[in-house]
This record gives sequence, structure tokens and C-alpha cells, in this order.
Amino acid sequence: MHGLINRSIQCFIRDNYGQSAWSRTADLAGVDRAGFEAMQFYPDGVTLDLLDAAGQVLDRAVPDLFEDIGTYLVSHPNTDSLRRLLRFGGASFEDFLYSLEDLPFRAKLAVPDLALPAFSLKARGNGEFDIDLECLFPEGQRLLVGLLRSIADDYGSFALVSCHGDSVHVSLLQTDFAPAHQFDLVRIE
Amino acid sequence: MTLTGIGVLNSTALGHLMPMHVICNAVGEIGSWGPSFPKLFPDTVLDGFPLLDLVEIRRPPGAASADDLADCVGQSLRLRGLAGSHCDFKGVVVKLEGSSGYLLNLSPYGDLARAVQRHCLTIADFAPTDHVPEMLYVMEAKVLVHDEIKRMNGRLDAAKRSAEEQALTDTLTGLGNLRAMERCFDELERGCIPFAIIQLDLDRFKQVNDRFGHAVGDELLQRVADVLVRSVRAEDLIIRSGGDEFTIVIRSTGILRLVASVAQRIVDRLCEPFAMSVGSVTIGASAGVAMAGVSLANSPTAIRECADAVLYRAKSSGGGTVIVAGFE
Repeated sequence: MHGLINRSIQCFIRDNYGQSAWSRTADLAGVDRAGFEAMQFYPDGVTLDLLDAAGQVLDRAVPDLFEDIGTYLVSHPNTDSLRRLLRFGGASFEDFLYSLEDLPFRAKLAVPDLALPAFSLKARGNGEFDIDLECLFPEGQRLLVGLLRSIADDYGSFALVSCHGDSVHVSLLQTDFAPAHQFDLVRIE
Repeated sequence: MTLTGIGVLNSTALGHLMPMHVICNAVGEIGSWGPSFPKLFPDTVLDGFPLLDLVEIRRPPGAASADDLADCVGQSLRLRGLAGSHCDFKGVVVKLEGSSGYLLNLSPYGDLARAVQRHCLTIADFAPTDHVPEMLYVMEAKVLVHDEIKRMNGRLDAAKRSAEEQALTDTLTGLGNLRAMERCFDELERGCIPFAIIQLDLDRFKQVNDRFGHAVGDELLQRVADVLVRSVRAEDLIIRSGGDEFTIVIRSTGILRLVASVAQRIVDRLCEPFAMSVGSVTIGASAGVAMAGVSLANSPTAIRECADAVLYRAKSSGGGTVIVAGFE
């Protein structure tokens, strides 16, 4: 598993629950409290242990944690870099949805050895979309649910996002429901 | 605009294909433009304005007037925006059939970030086929990844230095260990640096250890280490080479008399009592001194052996003394 994944989980715990919650999770999972290097690889088992430990320490079911992590990746100030990279995918939320199939390729453009699962998008018409993705973890689709809900919000759109079996369903109810979170092509320092 | 046999492109269609294009007549006066072109020159009234007063063709060189545009047709152009733009563009110019004018299409080039910021360009200002937004994405991601790698290298460096330091340190006293001594000896030989060695031995340390226990013994060794550190300069090296044995390397010195007096000062201090938790403790010390170039030997190891030999004689004569090799 790419270190970026483990590091995201680590930062999610630290930023949402505090340093001490992270320390307890690291101890329980048997990983160094110093955490993970974003640019290195770790055995897949480490991520599984980390998620299980987080579930125990934070008293949350792992699928619920996935959804929280998805939300965190877009909406927390510390993850603004990632939010920006995702916003490059489309000028509107609908464009973004269509660009999901490009996400594994775009991720590789950014980090050549980062392999994301393949996405397949089916537009049903009327703002209804179904997204299929192969997940390494059971109910891993919940991460996409949190992420899409958060990014719809970022675009100023109103969308309902939910899991249906292994698929993620999106109902785009209103494109410009609220002002979008600022996105400039070039980051303003 | 007519495409032979295909149809007509109106200005809306042209705007989708080339948001940053501009059309001028045969003498270079601007007649029409794409929706994003005015963003490049917001303070200029474009209609009728001379195009080559707005953009300068840098490559190919020598294209200064509208007459030269014909020679540039179809080539890959490099242009610079004038009139407040000062940004670089790539472009291509084509001749318009029938009207003898020209169409120039532009896209930012080089410092894309600067051009995008200067002209407040958004995704909508680029044709759906234009890869500038993807370039900006890749450039931004590259910086993030590069910064993370730099930070990681910093952490790895710090960890490496810390591990190296630990590997060379005697845990109890913080002095150097035998590995550090070997490293120092290599350095002295490679650099042909003059040096002297003091071999030091504590006289009655074992008795203290036996009488008062290891905790007191350990504390005593730390106090001895303090004395040694205070007695030499920063560039000298103190090694704990045995349980109660120390090797001191005095660097870059050729004055044996000075080294001998350092050794004497150390021995004198170590012969004084130490105030410890268990009361006053006296141990004493003996030292042997040898210097490169004075003794017959030359390598650091050989000098150390010399110093050791005279240390043995100092101990045998009752302790509390310093003997200098070559001056016995």
C-alpha cells in the first residue's frame, strides 16, 4: 500500500481526534508513533491493522471511518492541496463526476507509483449517476461516498450520495445551490 | 468563415475552438477576437488596434510588421505580450482566404502560472482540447511531491546522523567508544595530522565498585568523564576504551610538554576526592603519553601502544603519575 494512503489515515486521526488518539492507534496497530512516510510503500497488512486499531480506539465501525476519511480528504484545511488537485478534474461537479474515470490516470500523473482502483461511471440521466469501483477493503466504497458529498459541497452543488450494494449512487439535485469554494488555476500563496 | 466543402464557422464556434485567437486585416489591424483574448489586454480598445503593438513575435526572429506575417504562416511561433502583459505565448498564424487577413491563435507558454495569474485565466478560458489546465495540475502536483521528498530526505538524514552518533558513543559517559577511536585513527593517518595520545587508567576504581556497588561506580565514571571533557579542547577526542580506561587523542599538536601538562592536570584532579552520595571517594589515576614523531612509532595504533606501555610502568610504580614515552 502506498504510504500516502496510510499517512492520510494517520493525519485524519490526528487532525480530527488529536495526537493522543493517534498514539493509541499506532500502539494498538503495532506501528511507529512517528507515523508513515508519504513516498514509501508498506505491506497491505499494515493498513488493515491500522484501520482495525482506529476503529477500536475511536469506537467507530471501519466502514463509517471510511466515509469520515473521504469527507476529511476534501474538507479539512490541512488537506487543501488534495482538494485543489481534485478540483482540477472539472469546472463543475458534473464535469468532476465524468472525470472520475480519469482519476487513476491523473493520480499517476501526480505520483507515478500511486495505483488507484478503476472507476466506472454510468449516467442514468436527470442528474442520476452510478459509480462502480473495485475496492481492496470491504465497504471501501464508503470513502468515495464521503469524498463525493464533500466535493459536491465544494463545487456549491447539492447532491445526495449513498451506497447501493457495491455501487455508489449520486443524485445531483442542484448544480449551483450555493457559492463554490474558491478554486484558482494557480494557487494564491 | 468558409471551410471548403464543409461549411461555415461563426464566431461562437471559433470561440469554442480557440478562446484566445485574434483576427486582423492585411495591414495588421485587429477586427475580431475570441472570448478570452481581451483578458490578455484588458486596458486596450481592441477594434482596429495594431496587433503587433500588442504581441511581439520572438521566434522566428525579424517578424516586425504585418507584411512579415505571411512568412510566419503555419510555423510554431513564440510570442511575448506587450501592453502590460509581459507573458510568453506559443502561437500559430494562418492566412484567411478571400479577405487577405490573418488569424493568430495563442496559448500561454513557459511560466504558465504567471500568465494564468496575471490575466486571471480560468479553466473556461482554455479550449476543451487545450492541455494548459493539465500542465498546471501536473506542475502543482510535482511541487507537492518534490517538497514531500525533500522533507523525507531531511528526516532520513537526521535519523542517519543520530544512528551514526549513537554507534560511536559510550552510552554511560557520552564519551566516544572504540568505533569512534578507529574512525579518528583513520582520519589522523589519512590527513597526516600531528597528534599525541594520553592513555589513562583509574587506579582504585574496581575497589570503589566492589565496595559501593555499580550504581555508585557508574556515577563516578560520569564524574570522571566530566573532568576529562573539561580538561581538553573541543577538537580533542576522549574515548572510553575499557571499563575504567580512557584514550585521549590530542590533535594538531607538536608540543609534547603541553600534552604532558594536560595529562598531569588530569591525573592531579583525579587524585583528589570526589564528593558522592556515599561520602568522599578517592580513586586516583595513572597516565602514559606518547606523541607522533617523538617516539619511533608513527601510526596512531602504534603511538597508542607506546602510551599504553608507559602507562603500565606508571601504574606499576604505584599510580598517581604520568610517564611520557621517550622521556622516561
